[in-house]
Amino acid sequence: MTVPVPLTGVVDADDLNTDFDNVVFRMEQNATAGDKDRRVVAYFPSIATGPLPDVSMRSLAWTQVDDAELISVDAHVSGATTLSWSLTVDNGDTSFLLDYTFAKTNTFVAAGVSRLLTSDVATAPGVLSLLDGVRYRMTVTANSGGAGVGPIVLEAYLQSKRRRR
Amino acid sequence: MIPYVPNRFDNLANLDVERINENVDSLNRQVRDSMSRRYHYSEAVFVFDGITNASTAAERTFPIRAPGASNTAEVFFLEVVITSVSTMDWDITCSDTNWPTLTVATAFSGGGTTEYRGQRNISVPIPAGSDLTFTIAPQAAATATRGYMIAHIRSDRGRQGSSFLPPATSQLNSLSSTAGATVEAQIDAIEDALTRDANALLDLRCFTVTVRSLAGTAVSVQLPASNALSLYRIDAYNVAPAGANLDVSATAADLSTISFTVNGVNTSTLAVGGSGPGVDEETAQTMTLQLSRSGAGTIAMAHVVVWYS
Repeated sequence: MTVPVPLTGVVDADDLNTDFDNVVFRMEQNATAGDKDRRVVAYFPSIATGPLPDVSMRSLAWTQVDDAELISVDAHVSGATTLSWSLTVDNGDTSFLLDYTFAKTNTFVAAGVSRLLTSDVATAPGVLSLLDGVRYRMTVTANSGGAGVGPIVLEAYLQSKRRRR
Repeated sequence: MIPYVPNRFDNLANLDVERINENVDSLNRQVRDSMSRRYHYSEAVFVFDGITNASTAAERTFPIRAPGASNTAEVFFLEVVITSVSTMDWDITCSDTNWPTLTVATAFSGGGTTEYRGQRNISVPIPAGSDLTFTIAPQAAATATRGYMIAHIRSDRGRQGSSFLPPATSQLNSLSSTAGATVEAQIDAIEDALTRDANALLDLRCFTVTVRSLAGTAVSVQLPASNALSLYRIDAYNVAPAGANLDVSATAADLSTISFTVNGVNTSTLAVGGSGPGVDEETAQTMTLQLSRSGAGTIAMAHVVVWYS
């Protein structure tokens, strides 16, 4: 690729600035193109409500291996039911990092998906970050359905902005 | 990282070679810094709830393969979580024998609800055309009440087939009689590296879904897509008797429907099938992944790996 303004003869300062600015612009484009998403998917064939299984049977915990922005935690169901789900730090803290709870309850009237977004948490800041080296847990609770509700899929939707750090 | 140019130039001032060199050197370093951020991460989950010492090896095996011969990805960190009512040592072995066996010890804890964890931070490459596998086995009779492995995958976009050379620039000095052409050559070298950086877009990531005892009810996973996802390849594994076939489909509003079947062979075989490599379909709309059984019988384990970029 050649510079936007060729530098021939007398070097014009404005042309020089333009060519250097173009490098910066392209670096910014490349950095933005590096915003990539990914999903941590937890599948549960069935979750009873009476009695409710232990948390270990209806959650998934993982260790973050890089910094990422949390976009949402989504719950997918195959039929009408009421679910609660949450994302927590997995060290016994009852609050999530900056002292707020990231959780939602939704009544599904049919198969579908419900998203828990950062905008759903009244006290949350605009951006929630999951940090490298910290362990997190997605948990789902079936609030209705008796012997078994499922299958249920929980999905943490993250986005990495590595090239912009 | 906020890109910047250290110096700006003014037609009313003398052209300072050192200030040009500062700009060239700084931009060289910044582009190299950006190109060094070449890894992307994803998590592949394998669930083994309910497996016992009597389960076949195929039912206890977490398989994964790279989507193409020139695609570079590795499992660099494996986490294992087990709850069990048994006091038992569980061994996790890898098909790559350079990866040492990981043993996780569980102890009886009323109700089998205590989670026991193991982890290993040793990198192992994911081959193409064959599977990298992690197999879990109790050392004696035992049942995993709840169990899952999380393979943390790292993809290197700089090694996905295209050139990924950083910029190579030179310093200017006062002896140069063609200052304009010399300066332009340095900026060209940086621009060429930026082009290579921009072309290295194959940030491979994957997610997995494991379904056990799949029979009459189909399982659907709806994945809200974004502009940052292109579907690249789907692999599916079927551990089932002959006649219990795994049907996999992926649909989205702007995606040519991907559909294939992996026939059951027997419960000791990880039958595998998939869509072609480099599908690279844009999925700007919600994508639905569906697993269902055709034929008769029960699929002991259906495991799907979705690669995207």
